[in-house]
Amino acid sequence: MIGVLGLTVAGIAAATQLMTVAVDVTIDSGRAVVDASYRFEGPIDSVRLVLIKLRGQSVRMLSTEWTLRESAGLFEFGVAGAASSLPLHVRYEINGAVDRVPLFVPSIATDPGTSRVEIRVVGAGDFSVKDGFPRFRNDGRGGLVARPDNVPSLILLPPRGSLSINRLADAMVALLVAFGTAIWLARNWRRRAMSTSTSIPTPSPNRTP
Amino acid sequence: MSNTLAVVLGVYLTVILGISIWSALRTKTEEDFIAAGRTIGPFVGGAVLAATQISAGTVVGTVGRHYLTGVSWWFIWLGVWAGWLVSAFFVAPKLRRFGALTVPDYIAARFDSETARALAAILIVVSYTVYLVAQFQASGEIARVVFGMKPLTAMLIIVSSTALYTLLGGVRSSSYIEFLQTLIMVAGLGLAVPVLLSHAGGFSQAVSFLRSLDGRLLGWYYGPKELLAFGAAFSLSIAAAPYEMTRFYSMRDERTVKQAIAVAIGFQFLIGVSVLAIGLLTRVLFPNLPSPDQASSVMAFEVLPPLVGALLIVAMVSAIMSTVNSILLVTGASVAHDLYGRFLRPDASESHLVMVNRIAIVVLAFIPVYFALQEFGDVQAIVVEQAKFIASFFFVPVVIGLNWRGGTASGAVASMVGGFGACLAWELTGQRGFASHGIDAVEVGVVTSLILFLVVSRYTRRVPERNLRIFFPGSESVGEESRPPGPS
Repeated sequence: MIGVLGLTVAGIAAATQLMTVAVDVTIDSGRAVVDASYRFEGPIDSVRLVLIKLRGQSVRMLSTEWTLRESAGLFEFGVAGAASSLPLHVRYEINGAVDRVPLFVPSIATDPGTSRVEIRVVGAGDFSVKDGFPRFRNDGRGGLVARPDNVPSLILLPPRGSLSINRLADAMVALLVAFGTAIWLARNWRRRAMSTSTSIPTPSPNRTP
Repeated sequence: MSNTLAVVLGVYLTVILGISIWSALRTKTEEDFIAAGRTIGPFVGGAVLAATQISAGTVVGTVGRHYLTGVSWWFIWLGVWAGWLVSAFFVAPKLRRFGALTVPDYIAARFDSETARALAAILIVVSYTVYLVAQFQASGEIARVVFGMKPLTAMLIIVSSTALYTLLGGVRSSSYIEFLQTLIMVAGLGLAVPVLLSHAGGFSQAVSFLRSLDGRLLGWYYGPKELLAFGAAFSLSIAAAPYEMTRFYSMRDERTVKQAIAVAIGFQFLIGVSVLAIGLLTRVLFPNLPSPDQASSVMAFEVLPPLVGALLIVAMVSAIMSTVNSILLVTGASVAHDLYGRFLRPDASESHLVMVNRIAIVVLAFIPVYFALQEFGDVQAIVVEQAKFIASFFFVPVVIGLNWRGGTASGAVASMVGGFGACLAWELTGQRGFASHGIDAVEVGVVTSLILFLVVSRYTRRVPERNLRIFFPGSESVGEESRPPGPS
């Protein structure tokens, strides 16, 4: 099986690591500016960075050194050339619906044990933190911070008061548990009632000895 | 999330412990321990079959495989269900009617051979130890992502808790626990899909991104040769899988077994579709994880809301526990019932055999931990490997043996040894050239096993009529000296 499956796995398990990622997102009335820094360690030949294309948004690169290629579902750019350490900085602007902000994801993965990913959002006052993705918390300075183990393709900050799929799904779990317990109790109660009625036979007026 | 997870896990483990103690109080004989007194109905039975089949290979390995390779891996399910149908029509009813306690019991009775019994028991223990390695490795991955725990610690916790509930109540407790586990898996996986889809911005956006990221994700990452090989490994091994067959023995009757298989396929369809969606949507949200095996844990821990995430982590842990439990029951019974009880202490009492079974379970639970720490491959790769070996040495003596009167003891022994050896030899040599010739080890193993079974059976002493009558009650009796007929 190593012959058939092992090769495919090797493609994703590279020795080179993405050591640090620092993303700063500033949101301001239908516009988000993303400032992202990546640092790679190890023998590096090339890196591909992809950005998910989201509906209702336009992307404008503020970093002039990278040229974006566009396809149906994403934007991307690549960096080639041998190096043992590679710092990379990208700055871009999103216009339109900014409840989802796309992030560049590199083709070199993090190592959850040693890498550090930090995403900071400023200006998310009208967004619901609890329903966000990745898991954000208030940083105590009016902003939000998330520290996932890996780089997500987007951050999600749904407007406060909108229908929350997270809360709906959690409510479904509680409902299912309550429903399951009720069925189980009802079945047990019926079974017990039946066994009680069969264990004490009552004489039937229609039955003749 | 971690508080919610702790509460959900705590409640789940308490319920499991309660069921185990309740079952232990009702387990008195060896038949109670290995076959739950043959009282399991179709719905619980179907959920149990689904749970034993849905392992770490599915919730960790298959999610990871879909994450990495996309849609085409889903066609493996067709192989799984083909295996179930073969089992439903050609294996399960006859085995249930026979009423054995273990699969080597069947081998011994069908072929009138204690050598074949011992061989089957040994091969079961060896190949299922490999399967346990995959389960423990998956538990290590989950623990690393979710709890930041060392894999060894997680493995020891899983082994200890599973061994405890296996020891307490045998098949009765595990049947009710697995019923619960299937419901948790279906609910957890089913609820995760709409949440992930919503986070990813909808279906068309996710599809568009995946297609641009890697065109093969929504097309043919694996070609027909590979899918055929994987499908064959799963279908042939499931048709004759000892840990599934043992569950048939615990059901009320043949009709219940068939109904349970239909219920199991239904549950597996729901789980299969959810797992496909989860793998792909996790790829949208985290396009480049360090290991595909981390996809399900990352999704549960970093994407889903606390209660659904906790439920899914419990579902993953329970999938591992249910499979570990099923395997331990089968391997423990192979050691105690088929090896110790037959060859070392034939006069042992039932209570003594139950005790030996329990000791065997503890010993066999800890051996794979060492191998799991070596991380030989990803979880799905290890699962496919053991499926190939099971298919190579069990498919022919079980499926053909149950449906062809002509199989002899020597034929069965030759087919088991030859199938296992051929699969192993090809894996070490010819498998490297798979890309060019497209011949997989499972095909070599099963074909070798079949040829040996047919040829050796033709030239060796046939099985006495009294043994054949058990499995072929309606068929015409053939004289002791006449040649066996061809496969039906």
